[in-house]
Amino acid sequence: MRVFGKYWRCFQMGMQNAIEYRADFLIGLVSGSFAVLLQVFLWTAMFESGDRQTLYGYSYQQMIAYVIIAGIVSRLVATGFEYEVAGDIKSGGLSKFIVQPIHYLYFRMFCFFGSKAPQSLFIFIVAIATVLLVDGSLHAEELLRRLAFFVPAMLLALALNFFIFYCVSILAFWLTEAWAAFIGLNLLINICSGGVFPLDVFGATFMKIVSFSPFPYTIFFPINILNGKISADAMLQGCMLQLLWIVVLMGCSGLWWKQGMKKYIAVGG
Amino acid sequence: MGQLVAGIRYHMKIWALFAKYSLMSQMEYRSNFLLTLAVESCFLLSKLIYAAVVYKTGIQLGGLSPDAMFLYIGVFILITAFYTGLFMNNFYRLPDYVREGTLDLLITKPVSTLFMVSTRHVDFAIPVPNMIAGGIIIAIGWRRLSIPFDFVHVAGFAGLLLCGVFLAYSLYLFPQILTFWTVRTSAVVEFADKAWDFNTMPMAIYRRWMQRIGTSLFPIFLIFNVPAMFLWNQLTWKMALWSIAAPLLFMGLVRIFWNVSIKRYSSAGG
Repeated sequence: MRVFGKYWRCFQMGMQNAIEYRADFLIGLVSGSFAVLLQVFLWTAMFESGDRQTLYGYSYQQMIAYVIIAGIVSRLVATGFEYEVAGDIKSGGLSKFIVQPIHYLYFRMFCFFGSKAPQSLFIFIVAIATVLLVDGSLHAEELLRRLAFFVPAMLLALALNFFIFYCVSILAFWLTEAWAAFIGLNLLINICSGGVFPLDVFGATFMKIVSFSPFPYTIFFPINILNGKISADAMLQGCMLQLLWIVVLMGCSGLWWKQGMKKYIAVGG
Repeated sequence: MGQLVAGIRYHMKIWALFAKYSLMSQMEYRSNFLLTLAVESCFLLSKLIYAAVVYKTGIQLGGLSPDAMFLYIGVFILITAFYTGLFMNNFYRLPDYVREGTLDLLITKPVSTLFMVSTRHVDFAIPVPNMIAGGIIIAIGWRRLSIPFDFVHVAGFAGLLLCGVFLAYSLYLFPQILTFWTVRTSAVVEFADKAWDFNTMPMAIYRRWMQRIGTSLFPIFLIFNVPAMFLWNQLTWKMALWSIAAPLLFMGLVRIFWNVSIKRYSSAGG
C-alpha cells in the first residue's frame, strides 16, 4: 500500500501541475484550433467544389468530425515529458532517482496520467458534442455503444502514446542534443497516428504499413470508433492490439533503459 | 535621393557582415546545423502532405486547378524560407533582449536599433529545404500552366514576392514589439505563428469575410497569394496596388510602434 502511496502522490503532482497551468492548456487548444479550422475550410471547399458524396471513403460529416476530434485528441495524448527525461540524462538529474526508492518509469507514468486527468473530462465532452453536432440522426443507443469502446480505447491510447514517447526519450542516452530527434519524430509519429489527416487518405499501401506499428492505435483508431467507421468486432480487436503494443513497448523500454543506463555518466551530479 | 541610396548601401554592407558572421558561427556547430536541416525537412513534409492530399483528388478548389495550386503552395514555402532565414530568429530574440537587458548594447551601436535587432542573425539551415522545395514546386506549376517565362512575368513575380517578404517582416514584428509592454509575448506570438499556417492553402478555400480580413485589416493572405495570382492572371489592379502599398504602410506603422515602445525600455537586469 505504501508503494502505491508514493505513486499516487506522483499522480496528484501531475494533476496539480496541469491545474496550475490550465491557461496554457486552453491557449494551446485555441491556437491548435487554427490547424483544425484550416482543415475544416479545406474539406468544405473540396466537398463543395468536387460535388462528391465521399472523399477518401469519408462523408463530409465524418471528415469534419474526424478533423475536430483529431485536433483535441492529439492535444490530449501529446506528451512533452521526453524533453524532461533528456534533461535529466544530460544534466545528471537522473542520479537522484537512482538513489531514491522510486522507479523512474512509474514516476514519469503517474505524473503523465495525473497531468492528463483534468483535461480528459473536458475533451470527452467536446468529442461527444462534436459527434452529436455533425451527426444529428445518431440514436442514444448507438452513441452509448460507441462510447463503451471509445472510453477504454482512449485510456489505452494514452498509455500507448506514453510508452511510445518513453521509448523515444531513451534516445537521450546516446544523443546529447536529442531535441531535433524529438521534434522530427513527434511530427512523423503524429502523421502516422492520423493526427493530421485520416490514414485512409494516404492510400492502402501506407495504411497496411502503419497498421504493423502502434501509431494508428493512438489517434486514428479511437476517433473512428466514435465516428462510427469501425464494426464492433474491429473495435474489440483494436483494443486488444492496443494492449499488446503496450506490453511490447513496456518490455522494449525496460530493455533499452538498461542498455542506456550503461552509458549514463551522471554529469554534474 | 542620393542620401537614401547611400543609406541603403551602408545598411546592405552591414547586413552582408551579419550574414558572414552568422554563417561562420553556424559552421562552427555543424552537427546542430544538420539537425536543424533535418527538423525543417520534417516540417516541410507535413506542409507538402496538404498539397498531395488535394492534388490526388484532382478537384478544382475555388476555381484553381491542381497545377495552379502548386504555384500557391510553392510561393508559401518560398516566402517561409525567406522569413525564417532572415527574420524569424531575430524576432524571437527580442523578448530576451528586453527581459535580460541586453538591448543596452545594441542601442549604443551607430546603426538603427530596429535594423540591428531585426536582421542581426541570418539562419542558413532552416531556409535550405524550403528554398529548394519552394523553387521546384513553383517551377513545376509554372511549366504545367504554360506561363510565359519572360521579363514581365519574372520581374512582376519577383517584385511581388519581395513585397510579400517585406509585409511578412512588418506584420510579424508587431507581436514581438509588445514585449516592451508585457515582457512575455509567447501567447500572442503563438497565435500569430499559427495564423501563418492558414496560408498552407490558397485563400480561395476560405469564406469571403475571411478573405476580406486577410487582405485588408490583417493582410496575411496578401503576403502569399498575390505573386501566384499575378502569374495565374487573377490579380486585379486594385489588389496589385494594395499589395505594393501595404508593405510600405505596415513598415511605417511598425516603425512608429517601435519608436513609441522603445521609450518604455528600462534596461532590466542591468
